[in-house]
Parts: sequence; structure tokens; C-alpha cells
Amino acid sequence: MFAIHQAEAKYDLLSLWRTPGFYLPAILFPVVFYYFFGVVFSFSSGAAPQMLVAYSCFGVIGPALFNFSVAVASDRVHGWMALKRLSPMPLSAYMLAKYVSSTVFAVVILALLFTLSAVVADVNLWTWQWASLALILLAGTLPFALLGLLLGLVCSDKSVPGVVNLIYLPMAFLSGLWVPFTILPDYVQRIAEFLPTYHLSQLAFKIIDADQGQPVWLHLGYLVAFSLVLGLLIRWRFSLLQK
Amino acid sequence: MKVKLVLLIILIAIIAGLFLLPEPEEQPTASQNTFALGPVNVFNGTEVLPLSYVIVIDGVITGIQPRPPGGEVIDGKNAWLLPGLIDAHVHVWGDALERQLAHGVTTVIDMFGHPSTLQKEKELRDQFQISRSATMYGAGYLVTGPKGHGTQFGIQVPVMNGAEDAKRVVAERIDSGSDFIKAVYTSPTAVYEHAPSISLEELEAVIRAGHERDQLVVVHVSDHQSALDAVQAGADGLVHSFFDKVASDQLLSEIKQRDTFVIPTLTFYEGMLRGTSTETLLLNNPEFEISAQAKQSLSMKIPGQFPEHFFTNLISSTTRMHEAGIRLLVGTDAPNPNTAHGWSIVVEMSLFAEAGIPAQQILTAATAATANAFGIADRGMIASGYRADFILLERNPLEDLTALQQPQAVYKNGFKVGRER
Repeated sequence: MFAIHQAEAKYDLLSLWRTPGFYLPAILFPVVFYYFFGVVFSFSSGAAPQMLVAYSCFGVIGPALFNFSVAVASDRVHGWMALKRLSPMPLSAYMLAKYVSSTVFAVVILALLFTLSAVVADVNLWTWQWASLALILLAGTLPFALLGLLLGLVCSDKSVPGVVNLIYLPMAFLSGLWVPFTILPDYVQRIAEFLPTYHLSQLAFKIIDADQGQPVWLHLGYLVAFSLVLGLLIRWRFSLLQK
Repeated sequence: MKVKLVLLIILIAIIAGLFLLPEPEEQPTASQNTFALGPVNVFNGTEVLPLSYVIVIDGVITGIQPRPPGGEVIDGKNAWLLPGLIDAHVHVWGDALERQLAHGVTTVIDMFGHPSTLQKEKELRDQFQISRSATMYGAGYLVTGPKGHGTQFGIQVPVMNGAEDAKRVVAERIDSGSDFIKAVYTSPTAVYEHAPSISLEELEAVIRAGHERDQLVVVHVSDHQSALDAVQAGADGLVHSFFDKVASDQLLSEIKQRDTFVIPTLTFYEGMLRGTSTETLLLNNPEFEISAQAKQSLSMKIPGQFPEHFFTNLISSTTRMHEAGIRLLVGTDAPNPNTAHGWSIVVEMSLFAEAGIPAQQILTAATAATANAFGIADRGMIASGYRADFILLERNPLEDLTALQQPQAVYKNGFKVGRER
């Protein structure tokens, strides 16, 4: 049975690999963005590790949101998803394949960001910090993959990139992922506390001891609850689509 | 099978990659903060002691004696032991405190920053754990008027509205953790371009309100008249000097009479007015591995041309203050243009020397005098009961201040926390 999962994951990756027009911008966007605004025109000189963590959060969330939403919307609108669901392949294989692809993207983006930060921004972290940062951020893509999935199930393939950007970019900004909270008005942080990006980034910031000092359970609790709610919404949406 | 092998190789590559990423300087893990060190030449914060052995127990200096104590003694090799330096004027964010400590600056006085940073650092102050960061004392938010200096940096700063607002403002600072009050003041007579300032009446009210709550009140000024106003208003300290004219006899006697201290922040001004010290002492030295980030702020220039005599005014005022017996403290204003955390304190000290201040007094101005001015009880001296925050130098800093540039070792809370590089 897992052979199907493996095969589906492999071919999903292969199809991505054959569309450099998709993966190159997807990977380069966060890297270039970090280089410009996290290193060269940093709003926060003297905070290289903080900028790295913030932009890494920003970077891994992107593929989770986009890969799911765009691919699912397109598969759904073009009837490909209906075909797949009629085939004996379990839906979980389809989902897993998408998640594997977005995780591969995230790994590549993190590798590039980590290397870039070490080379040009003099970021030095303990190996356990580098490793836990990578693990937290990779695990933390799940809620965003679910959000992407929901958007893919709701929006048309034409509207989905715009909708995702409209959610992704303001959410990142308001969570202090582009410029630190210290130079944003205080109310921004109060808005941020409602956003998943904020809670994921706070968990990551804890690794370098640069978080806002709220407890871990708050952030974890938020992310788990957020994922559960999305899970329910996705189930509901699937049940609608089945009719 | 093949797929699994490829996956395994990729996984190994990723893990290997993690280990290739740079790590911070190795820190002590096993070393204890209980030890004896000697023989060392000790500059204790005010004077040089004969060759001594220093005994540290749990991060606190418990004895300084001419004879070696019993038991194991770390060979001091006649090196120079000084109290950890104190930078009396910095702005902390990011990894500023780590960078400061790496250069032997074990304590900093923050002259304006977000109170959350201060609150966090305050909790660490009394502990004796291994620490990679300098200890921070700070003003938190500064006291300024609507659209005044301090509001332009993007941090939302609460402002003061009228003299009757002074008590509230001071109470607000105390509640948010400020160790002292810093106000920004520019005299209405100042001719240069400046942000709107609180009035003299408001400044007097802030100083009064601060003193009523037993707070030190220091004032940011950048011209002669503002300095005079602030001193007469009862400021405990000025956190900048000025260069529009040479300090007048009247100003000197007012400062002297009230025992106001002055942190001239010569380095920052020097970058604007002359701009050679940082290059000569730091940037042009091929031995120094200056990070890209530090290089950036060190080489940053404030645009504009200033008459040559402004720099001589600045130095002459410093000389005159020193000769009048005024308390001068070493502060860099890092990370402003021409400065970088940790790197610039030696530049500031060399500018003190340029003003004709003897090395011994400069060293005091960067250690004991600052601790004293800000009421810091257990730092800035090498003496029994003081915290074991100190630096070990290969050469005698009294003969050459550049000996401070690369401390052989930095001790924080009695733990050897290494040196940069």
C-alpha cells in the first residue's frame, strides 16, 4: 500500500522538477527577499540571527501555502483530482505527495538561507540551534499546508495565487517576519497574536532566545487548534465537493 | 532499493550540512567560577596594585593578596588584570551584548531602547551563571516631546506633554524597568537643525520628578547652551558633549559645583567632524577580523561638511573638563555611525588620550567611575566582594591603550568566556 504513496510522492516531485518555471521562483523568492531586506537593507542591524529566523519562517511557509493551494486548485478545476479520486489510489497518497514536495522545497530554502546567513551575515549558532530551528520550521509547515489545501479546495486555479499572496504577505509582515516588532507600532503585535505565523515564529525565536517571552504551550496550543479547525473545514469542504 | 539509498544519502548530506554551519566561539563548560589566578598586575579600577593573586569563589572576588594561596593556582604569567570595561553609552539590540562581552566590555549602559530588552536583561543581572553577554543597565524609553529626538527611529516612543506631565512620565519609566531617566533636551537658542524638544521648564520638571523618586536623571544635549541649561536644571549627567564652542568657564564651574558627570561620546562626533580614528585604529588593522555587520556601522558616515574647528572645540572642551576635575565617562554611542559594539571603546579611550587625559584616569573612566556614577555596586572594580567580571591583557594598558583591543581572556561571573576570534 505504501508503494502507492511512494510512487505518488516520487511523481509529484518529478512533475515539479520538470517545471523549473515554478520551482526556481518559489525557491529564489525567499532567498532574494532575505538577502535584500534581512541582510543588505536590514531594518535591524545588529540582529543577524533574528533576521535569519524571521526570514526562514517566511521562507518555509511559502511553499507549504503555494504548493498545496495552487496544485490542488488546478487539479480540482481541471478534473484531475476527480479522476485521481476515482482511481484506486487513496486520497492520503495524493496529500502525502503534495506534503513531501512542499517539505522538499522547504528543506532547500532553509539550506540556502542558512548558508547565506552564515556566509554573508555572520550568523553563528550552535549545531543544536541550527538543527532544532530546521526541525521546528519544517514541522511548523503543517498548519500552513492545511491552510493551502483549504484555499485550493475553495478558490479557482486563477484566483488562488492572488488570494494566497493576500493572506501570506500581510500575515508575514504583521507577525514581524520582515521587520522586527521593536520598530513596529505596539498594536501590530496585538494583531499578530491572532496569526499562525506569529506563533510559529515565536517557537523558532525561542531557539535563539529572542522570542517575546510567551509560554511554549500558548504557541503550540494555537498551532494545534488552528490545524484542527482547518482539518474540520477541509473535511466539510471535501464532503461538499463529493456531492 | 535505489530510492532508499538516494534518500539516505540526501539525509546524511543534510545532517552533515548542519554540522558544517558555523558555531559561536567555544564557551567554557567544565571550567569553574572558583579559582585563584596569579601572579598578575592588577589595575583595580582606580590604581595599580603590586603583583597579586586574585581569589574568586562562585564568581565573586574574595581576596587579592601578594602571596600565592594554597591549592591550585592558574598561572597569571604577570599579565594585566583589569575590571571588565563599562561602556557608558550604547543602544542595545540584536546581539550587541554578546559582541560587547567578546571585547571585554562586561557591562553596558543603554541610553534608549525598547523596555522589553531591558526587562529581560534585568532578570539576568543578579545571577552567577555562565553568560556570553555583557550585563545591561538602561534608560528604557527616553523622555522626549512630541516628534522629538528619539521618535525618528521607528520605535514608538511615548512622549511628554507639558511640565505637569513629568511625574506621570517618570512613574511610567520606573514601572517599565528604567534604571535611570534619560531626557532629551535642546535649547530654543540652538541654531542647528534639530527635532522639536521639550522646554526648559519641562526638563526641570522631569529632573525634579526623577529626583523625588530617587532616580538618576541624565540628559542628552548636543550644544553648549543646552548643556548649560541641563546642568543648571540639575541633571546628574550629560550623555553627550558638544562642539559648537569650547566649554565656557561658567559651564565648567557649574558642572564642577554640581558634580555632574559627562559622557562626551567623542567617537560618534569624531566620525562626523574628522573621521580618521576608526580607520586608523580598527578598519586598517589587518589583524582584526571585523564582522561585516560591525564594518557597516564603523564605516557609516553622517553626511555633511563641518568647519575644522568643531573637532578642536570638542577636544578642547574635553581637556578643559578634565583639567577642571569634572567626571568624564567612556561611552561610545554604539552602534551609531563610526562605532560598533565592543570595537569602539578603545577608539573612545584613544580620543580621551588625545584630549590629554592620562591613561590611568581613562581606565577609571571606563570602569570604576562609570559604575560609581550609575550606582552599580558590585562591578567596575577588582576588590573583595566585587563580581569577577574582568579582563586579562598581555601588555600594560597604562603604557598603551591598544593593549585593550584583544584581551587575552575575558571573565564574566568568574567564568572564562574566551576572546573573539
